[in-house]
Amino acid sequence: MRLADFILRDMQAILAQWEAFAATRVPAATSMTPLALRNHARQILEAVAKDLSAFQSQHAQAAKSMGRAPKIMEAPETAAQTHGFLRAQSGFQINQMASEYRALRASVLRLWMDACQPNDFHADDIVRFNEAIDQALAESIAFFSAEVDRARELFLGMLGHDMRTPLQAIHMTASYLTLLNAGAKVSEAASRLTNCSARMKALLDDLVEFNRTKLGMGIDIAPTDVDLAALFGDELAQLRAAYPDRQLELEVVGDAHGFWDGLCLQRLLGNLVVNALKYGAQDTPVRVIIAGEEAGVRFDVRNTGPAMEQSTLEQLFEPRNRGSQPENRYTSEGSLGLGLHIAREIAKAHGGEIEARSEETEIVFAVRLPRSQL
Amino acid sequence: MKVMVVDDNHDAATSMSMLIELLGHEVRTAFDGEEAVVVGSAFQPEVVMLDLGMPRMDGYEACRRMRLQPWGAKMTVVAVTGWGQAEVRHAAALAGFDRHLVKPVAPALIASTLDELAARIA
Repeated sequence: MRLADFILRDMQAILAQWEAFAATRVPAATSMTPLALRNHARQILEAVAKDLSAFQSQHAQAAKSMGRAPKIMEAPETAAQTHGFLRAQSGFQINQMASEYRALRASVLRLWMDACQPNDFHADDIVRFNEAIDQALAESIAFFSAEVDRARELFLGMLGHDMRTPLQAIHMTASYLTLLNAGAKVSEAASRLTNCSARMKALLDDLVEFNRTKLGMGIDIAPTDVDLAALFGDELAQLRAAYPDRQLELEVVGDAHGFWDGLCLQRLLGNLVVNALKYGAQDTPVRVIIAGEEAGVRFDVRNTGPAMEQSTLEQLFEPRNRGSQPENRYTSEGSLGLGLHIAREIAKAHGGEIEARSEETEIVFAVRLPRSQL
Repeated sequence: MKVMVVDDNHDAATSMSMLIELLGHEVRTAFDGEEAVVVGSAFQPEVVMLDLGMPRMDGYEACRRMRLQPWGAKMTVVAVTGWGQAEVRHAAALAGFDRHLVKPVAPALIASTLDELAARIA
């Protein structure tokens, strides 16, 4: 008997065996009723059987063996896709889901071989069956991963949100203590609290925004009419307070007004300047030069430093991948190393761009912002 | 100025109230939307620092209700929230908020915002 006919005829027996296996993948399977489980498995197997009966060109077979079955636009989800989505929702691990498919494959083949005479089964059916199962597994995994990503984004979003309120209370209380003028010791302790909460806020912002950009959502901006010269003046004043032994210079030429998100652009500048302070020569100033032009505003952040290859400069914008050793995961300043990546995302969100280049004795980060977006 | 601070997190509400008081303003505190409407009615604030997500009655609803009162039409309502996305800002503006600050708000920004509003009233 051909495998396709066998699957359809002995569906109940196959499902029973598979279901018994799936139920052992605790704890997640407990939240899925036997009926739900059986429904997907039936639909997946029916799709597989249909696939086996249908003619397959050599080309389609090769594509399928690499998990690239043709996609029909606007097609409803396949049973395997739905299965992956629901498995992710009910808390399965991806290896648990993969082992379900392994069990399904093994149950079907064993039952089929037991039921048929040894010379009565077709080797070609096994190849096609494996390909169809692999295709279903690939579909399940794609939907499983997408659902896991979405859930993680929601979770991080909530976590980020919930941490903001207590962080604000810390910041407010530190400020209150400073304003009380209760002596140098209290002020000093309060400023330590302020520094720490500012650092936590920066980490939180990086985390939330990196999370968004990683999922292709881009950075949210709320543009208003702003003057870049004034905004950058404020930002540099704050940075001077944080780095009292370093020199920060600001030059403005032309009109620096535009329709942008001021807070985001302050962060952009802050990230570029902190990067320059960290990696540039320690005894020379970091210079910020704003040039207002007709179509937009350009600004450079310049620091003295040895020449760098263009390819090395480009890599600076990539989120740092420091491997799995936790001790290497954070920079000494307690940042996630996402500063330049986020700076570039902020520029992009404004329809602008950042370029890094190496001049004779300087490293230059050049930002271009259109004055208004279409 | 008369400032009302509303946040369901007591530490957040109290710490902001203490700071604003120290900046020289008269302050009342409420811990959810319903309480804000009641306290606001007696206190008749010129500025309200209002959280959005709160139990019993959220900030949007509290803002809408206060705006309907004779004392609530002219006051400045500032959203103080963990959410900074464009959709949230838009929804808050529709509910009658005048400004939107994302937590954690820097104390300096609280001070400058209140100074600016006080200058406008005077």
